[in-house]
Amino acid sequence: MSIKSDGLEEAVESVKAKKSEERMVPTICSLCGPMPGCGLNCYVKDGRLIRVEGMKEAPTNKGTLCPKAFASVQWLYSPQRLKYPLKRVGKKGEGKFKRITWDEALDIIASRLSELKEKHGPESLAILVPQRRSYCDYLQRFLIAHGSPNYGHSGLCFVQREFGFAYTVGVPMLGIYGADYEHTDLIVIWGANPVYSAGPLGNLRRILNAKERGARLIVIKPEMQPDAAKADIWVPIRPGTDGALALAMLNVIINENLYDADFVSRWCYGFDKLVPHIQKYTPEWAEPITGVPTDQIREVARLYGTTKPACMFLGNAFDQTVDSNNAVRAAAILIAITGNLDRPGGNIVPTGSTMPMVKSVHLRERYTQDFVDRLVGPEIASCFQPFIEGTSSAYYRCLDSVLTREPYPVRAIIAPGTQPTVITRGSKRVVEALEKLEFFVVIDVMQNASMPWADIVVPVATMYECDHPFEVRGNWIMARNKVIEPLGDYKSDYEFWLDLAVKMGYGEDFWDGSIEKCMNYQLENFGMTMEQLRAHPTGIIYEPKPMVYEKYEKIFAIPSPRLSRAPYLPQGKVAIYNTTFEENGFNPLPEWVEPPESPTGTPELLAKYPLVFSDTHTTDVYNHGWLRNLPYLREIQPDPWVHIHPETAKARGIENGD
Amino acid sequence: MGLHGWWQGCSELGLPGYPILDGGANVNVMYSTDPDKAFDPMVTAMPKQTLVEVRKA
Repeated sequence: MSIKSDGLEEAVESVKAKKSEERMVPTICSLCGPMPGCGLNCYVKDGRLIRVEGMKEAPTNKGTLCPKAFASVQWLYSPQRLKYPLKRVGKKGEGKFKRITWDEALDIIASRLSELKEKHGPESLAILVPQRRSYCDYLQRFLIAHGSPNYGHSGLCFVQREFGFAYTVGVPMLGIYGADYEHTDLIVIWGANPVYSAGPLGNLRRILNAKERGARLIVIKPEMQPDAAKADIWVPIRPGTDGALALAMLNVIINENLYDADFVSRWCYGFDKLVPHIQKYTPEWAEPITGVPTDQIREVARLYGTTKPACMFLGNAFDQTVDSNNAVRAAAILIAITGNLDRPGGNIVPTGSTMPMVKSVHLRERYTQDFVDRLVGPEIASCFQPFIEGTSSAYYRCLDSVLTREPYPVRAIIAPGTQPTVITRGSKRVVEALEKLEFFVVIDVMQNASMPWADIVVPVATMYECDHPFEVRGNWIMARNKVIEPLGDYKSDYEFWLDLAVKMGYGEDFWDGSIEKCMNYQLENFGMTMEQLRAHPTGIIYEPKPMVYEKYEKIFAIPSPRLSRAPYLPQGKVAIYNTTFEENGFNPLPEWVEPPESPTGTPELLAKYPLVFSDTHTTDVYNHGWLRNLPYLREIQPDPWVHIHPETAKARGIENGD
Repeated sequence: MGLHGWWQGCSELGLPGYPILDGGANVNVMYSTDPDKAFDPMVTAMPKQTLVEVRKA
């Protein structure tokens, strides 16, 4: 029998020939934020990136990629890319600019910052920081060299959970990345989205594997999303009321004696004070607040209290409510008193790997009380600064100070890779602040939504156009490789900060502007240089250390980053009753705080505004205020959307697609 | 439930961008920033829940 090829063989040969002309360059994706760091195999032909594939050797993504990474070829070649430094020539907000040279850009920025520092003090400068990138440590270093504590961190994400966990169970990441899916019988995904977010950390695959093994799944979130569709129990909670649900679960678990009495007795401080405190937070109390029926609250609490082991994965919902610190503490206490802390299948503290420590570029030895006292709007209360990011002012408060002038006005803001006009609350006040601000610098790869207000626009290279830094994810380290030559007159983010530091006279703290020296400095503990690291095209994976559980004496003695270096847990036990908070004027036990607007907190608003609205920040195709300009992704989600319950929509004559 | 961050257009598909403030799709204009109510006093967390009414345009 013969098969007619219809040119198939020729087509195959043609593809082979084309592929033979391609060059593959491995590198690391940094498109979407703090932790992922997916390995990329980048295919280049005639100096042009033509496609990307997931790198199988990368432990983060193991050969997989998300739609955003696949669309990054369009991102790289987007007509909206900035090409060279710009200076504003029109009115603020008008968007009129002219091209300037790098020397001019650096001169203008350096002279304005120096002038404002001389006239108003170094704290007149704030840097609004993007979703965590490896260069964020250099922003901190620059601020310290300049003398300003105003690292403008989001006030919306991640650090809030880290803080509550650190000061309750001694481990900042416990409820975020500590879930031991491989050994658990019950998973609680709470206010998180492992399908669209933090995917490269492998959470979704691990969760599905656990479910196939027989583990049960509870998903607590307002909307029926793909993870909720896989759940044994979906808890459709009203946005912003997670703390109330956690308190009611504590009520059930304590009153029905479902807690681990031995662990509580040995390793918890203040349980006796929690018992009477929690009595008012009954499921009946929580139902009208959370919208979760009493029976379901009891069902979930009993299941979590009786399933051994059980683990939790807490998401951003816990960071985006005025009840944040209480909600996180209540969840941390749930993990602890049920005996799920650092035990197999619970929420565990990894023992790490044989990888050496990357040398920090923070200049922590220069933090002083005076430095902390000059924060324009502390993100974490001043008495707990510095925290993990160093000193930090809340992103929004840096901007708001321009209008309120309290405690003093920030006068210069640099915004690298972040768009204050669309990514933080109160956009109208943000625009007002940018109108009044004395000096505003935007740094980005692309035209962005805050650029029209910028005095200077700094164009930086993408991850495909520079050969640094190296990235560390878990026990994997890899040097970035340059994939293509820069498409415009760019510096990398690192080069910009080093060059500006030199221009401002801070060169001694910035390796005299040498990228090679600063990368090699950070690698000193590895006994290798950046060039030697680059000899490992897909990086180096270090051996994990054998897992050790129940490391309580060690965990509960971890020092905090505060100036005093006092331990997070002064009693060496889980801080159910938190004396550190009490001494600093805060509630020692977790409480419930209503959102500024809610059906139970502000019922007087319900007649006019009867619906609760919330928003999500990441989908399968978009990340915050980015990427809508890419056709691959925009075809998938072409329009802004609002999801409304079908009955609510029907009552308003609204149909799908309206 | 909505998605934050809308402002960009997509010229290749002829899809529009949106104003940052009035008449746009930027959900951040809707949340309270009342200094007495809108911040967790310990960690400055800001709310992402607000009361609204929805009407067909």
